[in-house]
Amino acid sequence: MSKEEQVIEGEKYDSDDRVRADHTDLLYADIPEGEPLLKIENLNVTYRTDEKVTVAVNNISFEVNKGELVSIVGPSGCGKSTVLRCISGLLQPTSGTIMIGDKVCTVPGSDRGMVFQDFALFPWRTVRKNIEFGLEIAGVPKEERRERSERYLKAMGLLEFADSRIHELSGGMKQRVGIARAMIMHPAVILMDEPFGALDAQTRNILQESLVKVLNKSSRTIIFVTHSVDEALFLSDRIIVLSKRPATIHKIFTVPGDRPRDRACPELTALRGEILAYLQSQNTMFD
Amino acid sequence: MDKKVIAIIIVVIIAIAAVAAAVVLMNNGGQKDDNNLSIVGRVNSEGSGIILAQDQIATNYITVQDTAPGFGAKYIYNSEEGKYYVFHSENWGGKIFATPGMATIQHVQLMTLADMMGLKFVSYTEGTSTSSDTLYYIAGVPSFAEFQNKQKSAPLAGFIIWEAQVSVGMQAGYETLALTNNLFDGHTCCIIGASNKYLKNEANTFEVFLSVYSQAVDKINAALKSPSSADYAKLVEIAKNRVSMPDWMTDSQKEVAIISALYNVTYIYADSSTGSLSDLEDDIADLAESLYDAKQIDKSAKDLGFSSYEAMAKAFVDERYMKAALTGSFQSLTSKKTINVAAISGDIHQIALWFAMDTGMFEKANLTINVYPQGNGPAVWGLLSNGEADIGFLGAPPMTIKSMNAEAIGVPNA
Amino acid sequence: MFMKYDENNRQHRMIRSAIITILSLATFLVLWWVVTALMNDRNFPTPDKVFVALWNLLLYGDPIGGHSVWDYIAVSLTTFIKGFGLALIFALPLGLLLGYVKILREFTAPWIEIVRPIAPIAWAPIFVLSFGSQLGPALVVFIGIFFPLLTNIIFGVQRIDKNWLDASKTLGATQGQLFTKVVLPATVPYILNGIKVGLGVGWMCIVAAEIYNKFGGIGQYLVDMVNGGLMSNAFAAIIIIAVLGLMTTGVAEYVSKVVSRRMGMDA
Repeated sequence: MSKEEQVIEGEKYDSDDRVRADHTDLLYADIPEGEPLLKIENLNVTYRTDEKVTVAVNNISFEVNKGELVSIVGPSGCGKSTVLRCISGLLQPTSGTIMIGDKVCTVPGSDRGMVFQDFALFPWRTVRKNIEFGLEIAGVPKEERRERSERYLKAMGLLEFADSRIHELSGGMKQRVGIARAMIMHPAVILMDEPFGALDAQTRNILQESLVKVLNKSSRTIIFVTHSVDEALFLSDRIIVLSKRPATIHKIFTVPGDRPRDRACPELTALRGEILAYLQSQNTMFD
Repeated sequence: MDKKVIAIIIVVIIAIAAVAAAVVLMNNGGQKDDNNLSIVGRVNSEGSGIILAQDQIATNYITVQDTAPGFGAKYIYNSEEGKYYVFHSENWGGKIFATPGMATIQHVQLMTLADMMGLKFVSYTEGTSTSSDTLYYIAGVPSFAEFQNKQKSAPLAGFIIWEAQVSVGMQAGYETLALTNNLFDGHTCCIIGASNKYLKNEANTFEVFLSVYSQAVDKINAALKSPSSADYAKLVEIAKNRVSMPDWMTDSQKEVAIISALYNVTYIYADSSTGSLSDLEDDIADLAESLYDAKQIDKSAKDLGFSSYEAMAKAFVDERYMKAALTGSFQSLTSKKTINVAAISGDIHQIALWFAMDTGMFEKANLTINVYPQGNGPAVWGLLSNGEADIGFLGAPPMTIKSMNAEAIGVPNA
Repeated sequence: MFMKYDENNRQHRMIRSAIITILSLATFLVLWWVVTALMNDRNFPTPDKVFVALWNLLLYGDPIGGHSVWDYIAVSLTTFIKGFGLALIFALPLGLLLGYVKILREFTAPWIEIVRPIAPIAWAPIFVLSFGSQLGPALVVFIGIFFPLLTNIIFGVQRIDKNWLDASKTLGATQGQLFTKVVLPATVPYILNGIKVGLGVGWMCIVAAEIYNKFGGIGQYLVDMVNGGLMSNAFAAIIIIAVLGLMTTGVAEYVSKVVSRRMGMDA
C-alpha cells in the first residue's frame, strides 16, 4: 500500500463537518514523512477524590513524527495509559492540547485508532465482521469492505478463521484481529495500549515480528505503550521514558538500527541497561 | 452395585415411607361418614328473574297468554297464575345470556329453558361465532353491576339473576322479561346444609337454632303482610344494610329495590307446619338427575350406592331436626353455645338469618352465631366440607353437585 | 445391557439420560399415587382418575360448556400471545432507553420499584373491569412478563463492556451507531433471558386473568371444575396448563440457543 492510494471516488458522507471516517491519514498527506504529525503540549491530568487531589500526569509535552513508532515506557502505574487515553479522546485531560496537524483533538474519532490490551473484540461478530466494523461505520460499500478485509485477513494470517467466532481464537489470534481492525481504517495515528500485555512471551515475540512485517510494507504512525523495555527496543523508532507518578518525561531515546532488529545487539543492550536502571530507581515498591 | 447407589435408594424409600406416614397421621383415618353432609331445611323458594339488555326489549322472547298455545309450541304453564308462558325459540337462538355461576339454580333454570326450546346450551368463549340452534351463556356474573361491565365486552341479550339484583336492574331502567316465580312456580332455591358430624354431636343446639330461625321467617312473612308494622321497618332496614347495591342508587332507589326484592322472594323453611321436607326431597331427586344428565355431576345415584335418585334424596335430606324444632316446645339453651354458619354475603334470599341475628333472636336463646360470609354457594359448601362451618346457607344445586361429586352423601346416622 | 458406561459415547449418554428420566417420572407417578391413595381426600384424585379425565377432555372436550378443549387452549394461548407481544413491544425500547440514559433510569426507578412488586393477580380484576375482555386478560399477562423483561434488559445494557464502546468510538462510531451496532447486539442475551423468566410468570397470570374474565380459556375451565367439585377434570386442566407452559418455555429456549449461537455469545 503506497501513498498514492487513491481517495474513493465520490463523497459518501452526509454532513460536511464530519471527519471522513476511514483513511484519515490522507487528511495529512501534505505533511511529509519524518515531520511532526501529532503534538502534545502541556498535558496535565489531575484526579480529585473526596479526600485528596492526585496529579497523575504533570505537564507532558512531546511530538510524534509521521511514519514513526514511538513507545512510551515507565514504572508501573505511572500514567502511560492515561496519556494514551487522553490522546485518543476517551479521557479528558485537566489541561493541555493535543493536535494532529492543525486540528485540535478533544473527542474520540477514527483518526486515532486504538488497539486494546484485552482486545475489545465484538463476540457477536465473526472475525471478518470485526475487522470490517470501522468500514461499516464509515459507510464503505460492501464489495470494497470485503476486498479490503480479505487483504488484511491474509496479511495477519487469519484467512482460515475469517468466519469463526471470537471465542474460538487464542489470545494471539484475537490481538491480530484487534490490530487488523484498527489498521484497516488507515487512521492518522494508531494508539496501542499494551497490546501484547495479556499474551505469553512466545506469542508476544511472534506478534512483535508480525507488526514489524506490516510496518515494513506500509508506513504507519504508531504510539505504543508498554511496560516491556525489550519490546520497546525491538519495535520503536523512539522511546519516551516517563517518571513515576506524577509522570513527567525523563528522557526521550532514539533507537538505533532499522527494523527488524537483532534483539541481542550491543547498541540495544546498552540502551536497555540505561533505561532499566532508571526504571529501577523509580520503582518505589522496594524502598 | 455401588455402595452410594444403595444408600441413595434406601434414603428414597425412607423418604417415601415418611411422607406416607405423615399423610396418614394428618388425616387420622377416614371417618368418612363424619365428613358427609345433609340438607336439613329450606331457606327460600323463587326470587330470581331474567333481565333484558336494553336493545332487546322489542324482541319477542316470551308471550304470556290465558289460552293454551297451538301444537308444537314451547311453553310453560303456571297453574297458580293460570297463564301460559310461550317461548319463541327462534328469538332465543344465537343469543348470549349471563348467569351467576355454573352451579347456581339460575343457571340450571336457563339450561332447562334451553332444553325445552330444543336449543343447545353452550358457553360463550372469546372468538365464538354464534349459531341459531344454540343458546349461549357466560357464567360467573353475580351482580347487575358485573352484568353491565360484561355488556361492554360481549353482546349480551339478557341476564338471569337472583334478587335483589333484578330489582336493582329495574331501578337502572332495565326491563325484566319474567321472574322465575312465573316460569318455575314454587321452585326450590336456597337450603340449609349441615355436616353430619355436627348433627350427631350437637343435635339439640341445632334444633334450637332451627326453632329460632323458623320464628324469624314467620316474623318476616308477617311483616311483609303488614307494611306498617315495626318488624317491617326493621326488616327493610336490615335488608338495606346487608344487601350490597351499587353506588349510583339513591337512598330512595335502594329502598324501592329492597322492597320489590323482598316481595319477590318466598321465605319458607319446611313443606308443612310439622317440619316435613318431602317436597324438598322430590326436588332434590329431580335436580340430581337432571344435573347428572347435564354432566355437571359425574356420578349417578347408583354410582354412589343408592338404588335410585329418590332413595339418594331420602338419605340426603334429613327432616328429623326440622320436625323436632317445630313440634317440640321451644327452649332456649341452658348454656351459651356457638354455631359456625357459612352464608352467602349480601344475599337477600338468606335475609332471615340476618334478621334473626340483628334483632337479637339468637342471643336470647343463648346462641352465638359465628358467620363466615362467602361469595357463592360452592364456597359455602367448601367450608361445610372441611368442617370449618357447622351449617351453611346455599343454593340447592351447589349443595347437590358438590356433595355428589365428592361422594359426601351417606346413609343417615341411625 | 449392563456393559460399562462410556462417558464419551454419545449413544451411551442418550440412553443414560432416557433411563434416568423414565425412572424419575415413574417414581413421581408412584409417589403421587401413594400419597393420594393414603390421603383419601376427595380433593386429591389418584393419577388414574386424572389421566382418564385428561384423555376424555382431549378426545371429547367439555360436555358441560359444550366446547372442545382446543377451543379453551386457543383462548388462553391467544391471551398469552397478546400479553407477551405487548410486553415485548414496550419493554424492549423502554429497557434499552432506561439502561442507556442514566438520568431517565434514576427518575423512573421509584415508579418501577413501587409497581413491580404488585402481583399480577392483584391487577386482574381491575384490568378485566377497565379494559374489557379483549384487552384486560392480555394486560394481566403483560404486566407479569413486562417487569422481569424490563429489568433484565436494563441490567444488560448497564453490563455492556465499556471497552466495546471505547473501541467503537475510536473506529468513528456516532452515538446512533454505538446504539445500533454495539448496545443492541450486546443486550440480546439479556433480552432472551428476560423473555425466559417472563414466560413462566405469564402462564401464572393466565388463570388469574381468566377467573375474572369468564370468556373461556383453560384457566376458567380449571376454576369451574373446582367450583363444581369435579377435581379430576381440574387436575387434568392443571396438566394442560403445565404442558402449555413447558412448550412455550421450550420454544423460548430453542430460539435463545439459536440466536446465541448465531451471535457467538454462547461461549
